[in-house]
Amino acid sequence: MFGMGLRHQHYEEILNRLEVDPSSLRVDHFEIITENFLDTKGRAFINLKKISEHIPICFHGVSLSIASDEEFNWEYLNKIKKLEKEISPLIVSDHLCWTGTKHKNLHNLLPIPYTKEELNKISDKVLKLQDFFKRPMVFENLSAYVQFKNSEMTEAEFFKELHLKTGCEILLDINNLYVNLNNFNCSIDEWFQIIPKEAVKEMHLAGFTDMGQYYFDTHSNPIHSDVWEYYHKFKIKFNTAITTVEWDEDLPSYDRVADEVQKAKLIGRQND
Amino acid sequence: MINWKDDFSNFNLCQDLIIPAGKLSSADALQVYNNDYQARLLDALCVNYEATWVTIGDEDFIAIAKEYIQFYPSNSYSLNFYGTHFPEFLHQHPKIIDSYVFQMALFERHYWKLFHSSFKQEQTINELQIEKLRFNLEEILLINSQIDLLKIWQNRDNGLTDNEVDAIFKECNFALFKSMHKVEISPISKNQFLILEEFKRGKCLQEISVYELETSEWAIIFRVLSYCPRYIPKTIHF
Repeated sequence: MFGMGLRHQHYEEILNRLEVDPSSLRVDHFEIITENFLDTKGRAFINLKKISEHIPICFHGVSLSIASDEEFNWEYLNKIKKLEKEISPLIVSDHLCWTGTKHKNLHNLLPIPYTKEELNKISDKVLKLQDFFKRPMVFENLSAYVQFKNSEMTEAEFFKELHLKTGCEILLDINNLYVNLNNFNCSIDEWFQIIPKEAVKEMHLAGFTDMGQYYFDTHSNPIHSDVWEYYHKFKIKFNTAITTVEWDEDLPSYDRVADEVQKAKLIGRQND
Repeated sequence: MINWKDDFSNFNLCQDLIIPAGKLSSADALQVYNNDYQARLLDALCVNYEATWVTIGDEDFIAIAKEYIQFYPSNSYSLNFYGTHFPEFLHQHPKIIDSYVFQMALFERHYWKLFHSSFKQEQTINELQIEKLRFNLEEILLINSQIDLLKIWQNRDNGLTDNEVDAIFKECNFALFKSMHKVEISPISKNQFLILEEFKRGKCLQEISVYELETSEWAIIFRVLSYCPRYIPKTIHF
């Protein structure tokens, strides 16, 4: 399956095409930012409900804060669960990071040191979460601007261990791997080598911004040619993973994003 | 070791513990996250108070918004409603002298609240009972302003031309409410505004002072009331 992030700027176009010819949407699924729909029963929710009757939806959260040392925000989780019942998403995902404290949400995907201590703490929380949702949760790798000196393993090793300990699945963001390659000289090949094939449920593709001193994950540009090349390689191994194109800042027309989805589809088919 | 997950300010103290991205220094790498936090919250205020931004102008809006972000950190998982206290913050701010700025911000806060609220069913008003019916107008915002706030709202994407700016200095009354799936903005006359205000205070038609209105002018009043729940008040505020 190949899809894209659902953005409000495209609602009108999407709803019009659903009426006339849903195949002209050229996607197999849409992915929402979960938090945008937790406190709304207005037009945004009505549109989502309508779209979900035709096209499968994936939930992608940004505020779960699985790596926080605090207890879960159960009010937030209950709202996701309620939305899950209403929309029946294919996947419920978030990021392997922390995003703040009870009293201050930083609206940032903050990294952690990859230590055994963190692995044990996060594993316990993931198991609790999966018990609550009664489904495997899916976690995305970050693009980062700092790494911790006291890490005892690589990010890829941490994800692999977390998968083996909890059965959670992985949302492999190829753009984030590429950003980290440039920011920290992290190995992308390691991910290809050590992550089990069945662990990767979804792949993300997006564009970054070269800030001169570092690469910034802005989702504001077309997918970089190097990212396409890595995607081509990864899609051979992780051929059952669905693919989602993300575009947030400087969002172009619906068809421009759909063109990127088509490109991913072509690559996927070459690998069949 | 610092417990850097306790607070973002502690996270900023982690310089010795981190490896920075690319050619950044440790301080600059941490600053990327700081800047991103500021930018996201500022973006949220710019989206949630777009017409207020046009009303105040770039420089003052950004400066006041940054003060607000310092004073009110986000404590929610979503930025859809960030800026709940922004109208009152503006009202008390020494840079904001004109009351219509506060009204514009109140209008926008209410607009987004209604935008995210659920479907509102129209209720038929029985003409025989209308004299004695009382309505709860809690979800209706009534605005009486000396500036044409609607014009600013309608042109918030592109701003106003010089001619349009000249034309906004006129009295403006309107009601903001949810009808079915829509957020409706109905321009009303001063008398219609006063009558709806009396309903909002809990009065019924029998108790409302007589205003000179044509039959057709009552139509918009009944339309607004048809989306308000009825209630039996404990006290009426005269």
